[in-house]
Amino acid sequence: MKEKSQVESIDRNMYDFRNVDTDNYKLKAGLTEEIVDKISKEKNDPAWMNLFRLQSLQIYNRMEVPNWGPPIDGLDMDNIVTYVRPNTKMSAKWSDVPDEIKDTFERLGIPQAERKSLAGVGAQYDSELVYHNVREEVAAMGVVYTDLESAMHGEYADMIRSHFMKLVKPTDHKFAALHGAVWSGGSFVYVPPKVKVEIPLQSYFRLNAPGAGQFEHTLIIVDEGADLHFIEGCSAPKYNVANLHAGCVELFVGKNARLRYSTIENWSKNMYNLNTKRATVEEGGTMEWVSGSFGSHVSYLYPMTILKGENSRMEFTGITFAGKGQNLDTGAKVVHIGENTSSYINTKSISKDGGISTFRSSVTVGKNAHKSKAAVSCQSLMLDDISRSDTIPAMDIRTGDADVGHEARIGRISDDAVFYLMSRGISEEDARAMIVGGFADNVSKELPLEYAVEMNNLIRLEMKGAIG
Amino acid sequence: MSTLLKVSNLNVSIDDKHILHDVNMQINEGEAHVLMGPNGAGKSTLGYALMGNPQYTIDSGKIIFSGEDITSESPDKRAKAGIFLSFQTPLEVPGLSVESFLRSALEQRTGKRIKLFDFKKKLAAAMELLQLDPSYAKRDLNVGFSGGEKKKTEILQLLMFRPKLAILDETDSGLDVDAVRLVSKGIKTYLEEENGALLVITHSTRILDAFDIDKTHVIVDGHIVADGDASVVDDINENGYEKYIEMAGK
Amino acid sequence: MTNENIILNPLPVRTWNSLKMNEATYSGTIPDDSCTPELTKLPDELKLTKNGTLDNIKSAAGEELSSHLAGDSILIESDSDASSAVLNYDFTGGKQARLFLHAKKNSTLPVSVIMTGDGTAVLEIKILAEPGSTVDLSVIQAVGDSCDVITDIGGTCEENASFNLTKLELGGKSEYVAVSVDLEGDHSSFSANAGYRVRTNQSLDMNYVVRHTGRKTESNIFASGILEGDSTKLFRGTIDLIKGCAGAKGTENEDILLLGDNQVNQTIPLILCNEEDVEGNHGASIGRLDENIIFYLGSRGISPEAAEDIIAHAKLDAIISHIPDDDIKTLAHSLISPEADGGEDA
Repeated sequence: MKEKSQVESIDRNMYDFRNVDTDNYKLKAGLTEEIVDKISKEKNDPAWMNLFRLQSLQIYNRMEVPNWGPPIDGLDMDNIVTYVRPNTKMSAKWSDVPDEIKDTFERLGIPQAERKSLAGVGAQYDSELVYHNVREEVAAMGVVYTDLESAMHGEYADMIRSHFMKLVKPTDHKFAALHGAVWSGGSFVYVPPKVKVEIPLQSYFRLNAPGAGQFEHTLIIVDEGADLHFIEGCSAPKYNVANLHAGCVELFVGKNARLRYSTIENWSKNMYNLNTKRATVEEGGTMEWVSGSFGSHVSYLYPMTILKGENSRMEFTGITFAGKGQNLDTGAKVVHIGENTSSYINTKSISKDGGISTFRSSVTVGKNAHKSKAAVSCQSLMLDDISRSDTIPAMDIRTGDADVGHEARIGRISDDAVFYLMSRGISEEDARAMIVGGFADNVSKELPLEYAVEMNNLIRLEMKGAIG
Repeated sequence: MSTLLKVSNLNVSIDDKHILHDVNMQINEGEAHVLMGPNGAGKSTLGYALMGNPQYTIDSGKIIFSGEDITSESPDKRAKAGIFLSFQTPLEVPGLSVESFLRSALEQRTGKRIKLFDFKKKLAAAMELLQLDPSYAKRDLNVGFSGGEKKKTEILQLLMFRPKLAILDETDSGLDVDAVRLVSKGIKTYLEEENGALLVITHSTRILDAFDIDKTHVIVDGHIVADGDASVVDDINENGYEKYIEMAGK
Repeated sequence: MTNENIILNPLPVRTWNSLKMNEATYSGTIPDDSCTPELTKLPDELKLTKNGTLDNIKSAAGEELSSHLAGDSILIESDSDASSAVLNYDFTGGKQARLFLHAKKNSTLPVSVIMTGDGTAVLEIKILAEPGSTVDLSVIQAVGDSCDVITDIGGTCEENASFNLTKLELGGKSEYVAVSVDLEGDHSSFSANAGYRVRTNQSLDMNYVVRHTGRKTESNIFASGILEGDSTKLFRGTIDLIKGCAGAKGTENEDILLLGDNQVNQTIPLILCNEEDVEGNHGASIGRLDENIIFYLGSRGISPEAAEDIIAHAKLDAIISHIPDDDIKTLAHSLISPEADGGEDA
């Protein structure tokens, strides 16, 4: 019966809305109920999910695009459907993949088979096998590691229903609503109480799902006292014909549990990356984010952590490298609710060749978050005078006994340091690359070795040709 | 013995201020030279000018090293050619470990990949000689190092890079007796094993006990006012710079 | 008398709307009556012109406010090494005032402004500092505790000019402070020392914006204050390092002492930068009085409450020490601790 009343209220919303915009719809080829229904059918959604998608669609159509942040004029909002349902004709061919990306694959030394998969044009290579083996191994410990779509029909259906988009609600912003309506693919991980997963889990299989890497949904639940490291993406550039990414990540960290979520994002440089990531942490739990942003044309990315339980804590370590033609708006958000919670946000950003990098953060300490600690440190490096680097940190503190600190610095590579390294026989280009690599070590130190090496290679590549 | 470094009529300025005036100096292979002078005489400026610090402008004159004119070469090229400058205040480079810095620098100097095993062996030996704790190899270059540790790390680089000419700028200043002994030992090892040449910039003479001095140069107000043998050091020890300051006045 | 919602203190670059920091909405009135100041001190070397103005100086209060400001104005000009002027504004009954300060080439212009009275107070001050000049402005806001206060200060510094602002916020119920400075000339500088004590049920909304366009320009904003229980404060501070300002340095620091509980303490310090050869720094420290200090003072016989008061006074004293005029310094001291001087209780 509950569902029924929900349907009614949705219908009313729809009616209100249609009064205004019905004609626009037809003219502008917007996202319609029919399209969303079709996606839902193809996905074999349970009824509640079908309803959820339609509800999200209403919200999507009602909401405005943000009035802050980098411009997204390049997105054809009137024809959003083309991002959601790209024409079959648009399916990628290896010959269409930009040379710049092929070149980067080459320089990063990625095997041929893998390249095609990363570019979204090839069949999945052997990662299915790797994934399968990993899954077997962790399943023995009781860990569920699967794709979200099939999990909706299995044993964990109720768990998914009670968690899906409860942290990131479709009403959060327009692109969260879009995600709710058209999401597709993604991972589901459940770690039972006290289970400590020794190997990092990686989101291999996502690459293969239809629409993967575009509207994927990641849902991770780490139960009481459990421990997990999850790695998303990889440092190779990912190419997608439809250049809008509106993924969503929801993380639930249980009592005394720990979750580390690492991402090295390197979308191709035509991508609008409007991703939403959020975690909630129960008593004594720990959330750790490690985040590197290298790719995309425009990014809006601010992983948020809600420190709900007493003594819960979070750490965010990030690096953003904005080069030519990139406008990367990144940062983090934290909300302290429980007593004695602590957060530490440590970010570095680099701007080069006219790139724009913005660090944006918010720290909110609620009335009851007594004795909480929050520290924000952000450093920005300007590599030339045609780039831009902005810092926009907000703090809202509502209790008297919180300890809150913040520091921000903006600067350039010191000439003295370059001279010092050059005096030891290192070329200027390499000296600068070394200093930038050292600058980024807050993140590389936190990554598993092979990822750290890849990230450093990436920085080297980005730094090549930095000297006149 | 063949000429390693030949400086002729070198004039150097910084921010349009003329610091060095017509400096001439010749250092042969394997020779140990000392550059002495009161504070502010231009000693460090000469070191920086030889290393090619871009903040210093060479207005006229020539620097010939190993037969090549390096007057307008970049610092890294000079280093590859075989010049080493130990900084008076070594820079801190956060995020760059001593080990990976040394290895990258070595690879760049030689243009070859260095075998990790050989490198580690060499590094461990050099660190032991200087009594630097092995854990320092993993630490960020000079970050959080004490004054003595920074100076030792400079000498560690000298031992690893094995240049043809080492310019040591006030390497002994601010060091305690033990540290001076270790630094001296490092320098001696370099001289013996590499038959390296040395230009020691100092205003004290503690470090000079460690090796034989071939030539002494005295600089006052940017002018080299005297060239002599080791006896000049003794003279300055006893009588100070007064005589030389008078000479500069003339 | 206007009564509508006026947008004040817009953040130069917007962020999440849900934070409610992008701007302030003032829903009170802007009085039409003009306030004529009492000229407590006016040295002969300064030239005063009634209804004189200065053009083209930006504001950080937002465009909506300026359309409401059309009352009488005063222009003070200096062309020499002038001594200090003191202006007393009594806003009783609700008034608005406009003050223009013009320091000509190589001159100095020290001015102190005291704001008192019971009533809505709106004060606009515009400053032009010509090459080589120095403007020292001290503004002490001590209006009645139930009043709305809007202070809008804007200044432009030409080559080698400096503008030093000392601001003390002591009264008012809802206060809005906007400070906008353009460092246009090479080697020009701006320094601000802002001290405040926001009492229970009072609010303070600040918007400091410094634009560096000249080379080797320097700015330093220091805001130090005390928030009592159930008070609200929002500090917006923006250092804008604009392309071409090579060698510029901008620093903002906030130091906040919390007394009591339930404060709303919001801070948003922006550094905007599109020049390579610059330095921009921000730091903030927010918290209660260090327990070690309370213990140390306690061991000397001082109660925790008294210790808090001593430290709170010390913070404001440090700001007051930047006021150049000794008489105003004394006055400021008596305002922050009336009983200590045996003065009248406010």
